Amino acid sequence: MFELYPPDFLRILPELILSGMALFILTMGAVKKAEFCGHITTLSFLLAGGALFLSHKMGKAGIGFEGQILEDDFSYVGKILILIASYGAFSLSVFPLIREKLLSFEYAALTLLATTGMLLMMGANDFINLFVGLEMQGLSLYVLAALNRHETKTAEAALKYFILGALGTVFYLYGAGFLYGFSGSTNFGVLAAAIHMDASSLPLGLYVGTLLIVSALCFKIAAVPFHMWTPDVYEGCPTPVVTFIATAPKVVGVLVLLRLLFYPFMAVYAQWVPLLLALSLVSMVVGTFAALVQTNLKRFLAYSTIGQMGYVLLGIASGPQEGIQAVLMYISLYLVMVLGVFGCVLCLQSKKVGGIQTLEDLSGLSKFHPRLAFLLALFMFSLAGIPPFAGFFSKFYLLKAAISAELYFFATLGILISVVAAAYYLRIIKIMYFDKRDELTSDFYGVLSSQAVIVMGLCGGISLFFCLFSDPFFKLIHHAAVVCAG
Amino acid sequence: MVIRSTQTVYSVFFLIFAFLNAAGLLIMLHAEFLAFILLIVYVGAVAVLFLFVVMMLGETQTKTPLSRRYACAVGGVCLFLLTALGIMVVRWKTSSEALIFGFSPTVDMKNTEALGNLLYTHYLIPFQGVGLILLIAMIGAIVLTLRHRRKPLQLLSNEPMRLVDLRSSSMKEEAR
Repeated sequence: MFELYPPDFLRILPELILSGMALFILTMGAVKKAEFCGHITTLSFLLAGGALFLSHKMGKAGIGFEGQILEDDFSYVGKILILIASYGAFSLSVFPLIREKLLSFEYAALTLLATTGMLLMMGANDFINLFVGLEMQGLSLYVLAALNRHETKTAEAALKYFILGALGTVFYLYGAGFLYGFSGSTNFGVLAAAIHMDASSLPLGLYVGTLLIVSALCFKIAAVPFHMWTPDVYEGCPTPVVTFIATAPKVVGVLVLLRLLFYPFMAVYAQWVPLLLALSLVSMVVGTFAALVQTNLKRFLAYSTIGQMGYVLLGIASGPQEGIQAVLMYISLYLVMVLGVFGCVLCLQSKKVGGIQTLEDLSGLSKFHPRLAFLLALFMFSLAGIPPFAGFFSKFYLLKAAISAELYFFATLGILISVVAAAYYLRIIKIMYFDKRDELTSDFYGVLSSQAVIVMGLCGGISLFFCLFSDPFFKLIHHAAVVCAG
Repeated sequence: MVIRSTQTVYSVFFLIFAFLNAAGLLIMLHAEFLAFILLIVYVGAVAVLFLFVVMMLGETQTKTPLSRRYACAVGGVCLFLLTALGIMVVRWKTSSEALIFGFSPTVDMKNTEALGNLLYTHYLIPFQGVGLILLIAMIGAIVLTLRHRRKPLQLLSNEPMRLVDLRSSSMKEEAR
């Protein structure tokens, strides 16, 4: 008979803390100011991080709640990344939110609930659990995206996000149905065992299910055939919300993809690798070449994200051991750099209506705000993959993994594409440092809050000095990759 | 009959009839909990809501319920899907391990009891998670539709306005 016992609850302590704090904020929101709720949110992120560390240190790894959740080194690293992403995005956006009068206690509560959903996804060992987490983060993000609903563009973007997100959900459910029909259980472990048992004659339904689930997750990480929402959402939604959408859900999407592909679907490895390679190829090409012609800053960032996701998929396709490690490293450094870039964008404010819109708005930034220009240049160099910066190492290990998996064509293509990509990242730097502004009146200025300074300073520090202090990080990632590869 | 009927009210009643039949089928499958949930939720709430809407709208009798070509197209698609489903079911191959997992309530356990037992033990986390999702939906609905007192004024000031001279228009009215 079923028994609940405390270790199970220790395993989901971070989730419990975050959701409990969200409920607390909802009650306090009636009487307290939004700023107070912002502080509570920061506090609960810290508490959740502490709880995560604690439960990991106490050795609470393993399967809990009758196989519903799975805690191991991989999900530990994933949860750390998610908490960092959510906390970073939130602390960067508190000040701009207050400025745009968007900060409310609901914003804080929804951020916390979205993070809870992502943590649930990360710890899921069951398609039902994964679905619940997916929906929890998805629904919160749709609401956050639509917060500024009086703006026509925002409303349009949020609607697009919602509808395409719902489509992704449908894909997921349909695929999970197929897999359930095959294995008779929604559990990952059972599915893996079932596939392994019948490896000689697998039915078509299984492949269809795998395909559908992979595409549903590709919706979330915006890989190419499923990327249509990304540029519009990035452009239309309030920048603080975009910061959140661009970081945490991407990370969790990639990590869940890793977990699924290398755990239940490991036995059909040969079937999904070509699929991922194709997705990666089109993502890299479309993302990079579309980013070349963008004039809008946020649209540019959206396409650059799509291109980066192409690299991530290439990494996933390059195999269990080295591939996972490279992807984990890539996605964590990507997270750091994107947080930094969006931090810079959030700090920029224009007297023009709608803030900084086009790339040309950045011209002459080095004169008006040299520190901000320096940081942005640093992140751009890093994203482009110029050697001393962190971005170089992540690309290097990823392509190395691809080469050792004998994907020579794709690795070469990745290098060539990254040359093209470097052109547009460097273009931003050129605009900031060398373009003269027509009118010398500074109609934009940078505002930095202390929290944002800390986060951006950390991001900048990591991007700059990654090569010096990467050892403990490597160790952590290596453990996670070994666990994930099973 | 639901889509053939020209009277909307009749359509709704036929829909309720269809729900009742589905509930009957479920009872025959010994799934009495689902059957009654179906009755309560669909017949009790959704269909009554439909009825209210239909009655509020008043008499809306459509002359031609569906154009024939449209009906044929929809019917064709449905037929195709059904055939596909049939083929799938007949040729469906489950894993050899799957048979162990066929959850079915034992004789001495009531359906409702079995469901409750599963939901609060095995599926505890997803169940609570679904509760949180409903909460999010509620927050979302409130946040996105709530209008603060001052908001409409702000909204108005942003929108292009057209000044209308009330006096002159009323004078024109009088002149008429």
